[in-house]
Amino acid sequence: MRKSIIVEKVSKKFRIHHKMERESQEVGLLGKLLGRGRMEKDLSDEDFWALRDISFEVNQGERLAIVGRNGAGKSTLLKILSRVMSPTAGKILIRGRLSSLLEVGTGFHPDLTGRENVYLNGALLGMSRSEVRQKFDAIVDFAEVERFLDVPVKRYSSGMYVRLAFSVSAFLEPDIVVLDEVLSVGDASFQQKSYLKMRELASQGRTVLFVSHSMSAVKDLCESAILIENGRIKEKTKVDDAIGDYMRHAMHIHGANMPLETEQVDLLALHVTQSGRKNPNYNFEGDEPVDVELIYHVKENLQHFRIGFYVKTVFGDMLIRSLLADRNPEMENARPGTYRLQAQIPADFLVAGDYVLEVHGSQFGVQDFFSSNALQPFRIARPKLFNIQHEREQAFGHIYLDPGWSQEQISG
Amino acid sequence: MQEASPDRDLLPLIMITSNPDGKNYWSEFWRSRELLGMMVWRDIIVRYKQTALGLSWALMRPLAMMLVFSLIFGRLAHLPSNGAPYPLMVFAGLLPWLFFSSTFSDASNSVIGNANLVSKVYFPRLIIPLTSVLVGLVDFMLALLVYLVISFFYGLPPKFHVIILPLFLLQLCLLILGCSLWVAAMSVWYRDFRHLLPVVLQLGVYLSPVGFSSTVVPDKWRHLYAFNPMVGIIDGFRWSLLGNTQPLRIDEIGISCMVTLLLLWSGLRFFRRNEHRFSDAI
Repeated sequence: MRKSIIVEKVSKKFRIHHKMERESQEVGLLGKLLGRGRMEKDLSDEDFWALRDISFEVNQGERLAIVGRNGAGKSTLLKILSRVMSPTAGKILIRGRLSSLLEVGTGFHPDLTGRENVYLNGALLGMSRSEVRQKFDAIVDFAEVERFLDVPVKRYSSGMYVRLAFSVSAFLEPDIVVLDEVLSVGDASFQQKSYLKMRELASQGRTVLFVSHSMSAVKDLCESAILIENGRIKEKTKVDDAIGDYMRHAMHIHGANMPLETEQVDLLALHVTQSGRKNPNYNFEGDEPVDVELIYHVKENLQHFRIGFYVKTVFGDMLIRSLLADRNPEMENARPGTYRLQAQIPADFLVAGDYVLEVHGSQFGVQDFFSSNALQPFRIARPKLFNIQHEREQAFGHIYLDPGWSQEQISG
Repeated sequence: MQEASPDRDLLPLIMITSNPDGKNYWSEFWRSRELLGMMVWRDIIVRYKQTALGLSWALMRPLAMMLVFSLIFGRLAHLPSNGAPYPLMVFAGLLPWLFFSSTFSDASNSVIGNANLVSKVYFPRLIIPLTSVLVGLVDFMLALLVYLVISFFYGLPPKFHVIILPLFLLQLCLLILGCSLWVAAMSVWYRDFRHLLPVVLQLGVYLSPVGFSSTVVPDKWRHLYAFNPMVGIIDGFRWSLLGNTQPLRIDEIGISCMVTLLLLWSGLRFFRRNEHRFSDAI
């Protein structure tokens, strides 16, 4: 397989100037010459490794997602790949013209007209004048700004502005495309359009690097992914695995600390276990049930009180909503006290994959106690007895159903 | 839409390391010449688009300075003008000086001024200060036109010496570029140049023979004086525009050219060594 990009042990170090920064900037060059700034600088500087020993390879035509939380180092990596920044150490080989669609509108000048900006931006992105001229109509057409071409872009609505900016970069024809959160521009219909354009770019045998927080876009556009955490990467994996890891990691960080206290109800504990064992990674077998236990404290009489859990996909789609009072109407009125609530997700029920369990507690039409603050991500493994077609088969759907298959032979 | 090129051996191979070896520096720069053109064109348009009096502002300054210097140095101090009308001699010196001072300060701020580009898009950074120099040429050309009008008015239009003028103009551009490369790169880390530079330029107008002729300087100091590269350039301009009544010393021109080339070479070196770190600091 031909490689488009080879990244070898790339690291990037930044100097962080702590609170002395303002002082030493005021001291500036003159102070430095006089030897003043230096001492303070040494005291206040600290090295920060935005990337550490990153190595990976991207094949020609591969569509690779880079996922990770804000500040994990994704943007730094993209900046190094697009040569805006230099790495502190390491080496990168890139074959082909690489263009990045980082932050659309970079290089637009407010005083220039739409037409002028298209040419200028094209040149900045590495297009020749004749190339821009050739694609000009397509760009303008895509951006839907024909009528305002000769108006300075500072008079554009923000929607028109980003549409035009996106269009210029979308009509570049690089060998390697770097997309950074570009899908979130414009209104819904333009988003759809730009998304299709991205897919078109990706489907033409180009190498695509894609950074987004929209996991459904990542899943849709990419086949493989690397997960960056604190400047380091795990090995390249299939996109589903990386998304799962990312969501689980993200939720561990953002998940609530128990107890979760509100005015009327405190959620004291949430236990998700299997066969009575606590599993630190919440990786569960698919052929055994998963036990859910909630301990909560009600402080006053509550009417129409519902408590229970949701099971959602990592993309946030709700699969299951199951509440205590669904089948127990008498439980709707809660009296003060501390309660233990137990439930079970049956064996052979969830398809292998990553899920999120969310505790829900609310008074109908009055309030939602925990919003989406009590979350527990977990992973279900494939049931051992499931007859897969081949080793690397992906999981389809989310729920197993045994519809009581039966077959009889009706003729020879 | 075309398919991405199938024959990958034809695709350029780029290597990114912590310290770019700069092997392809100039070929890459040459490939970006269209971008240079676009940037120059952008700055010119933006500059003159909104100011209705845009052009006349570019001319007010030399005219005002010509009046002041002629009054002070010509009328009050009775300094020599080597056979040319004093205001005309001043104007011929103001042409290179104003080009130098305004373009030097523009180009020095150019890298910081384009911070949004520097931190987002890759292109040869050399384009940025070079753009400022080329844009400054436009103002210079306008001022030159005004000079020609005034010289006809004084009955002293340029003679054949003027064919040498482009050479001095080229030297001036290289000098500005050389100085700007130093300051533009350094001001990424030290913003105080923004305040320092106007002071230096204010002094420079008196340290260079702008309001007076270089013949005012005593002979024993002339060689030392020539290490200010503007001395040779201003003398060259006066000689080209006003004729051989003006002083032109080959040794001074030589020193001036050497200083210019030294500044340009060292400026380029410094800029190239640091440009890949701009986006860290900007």
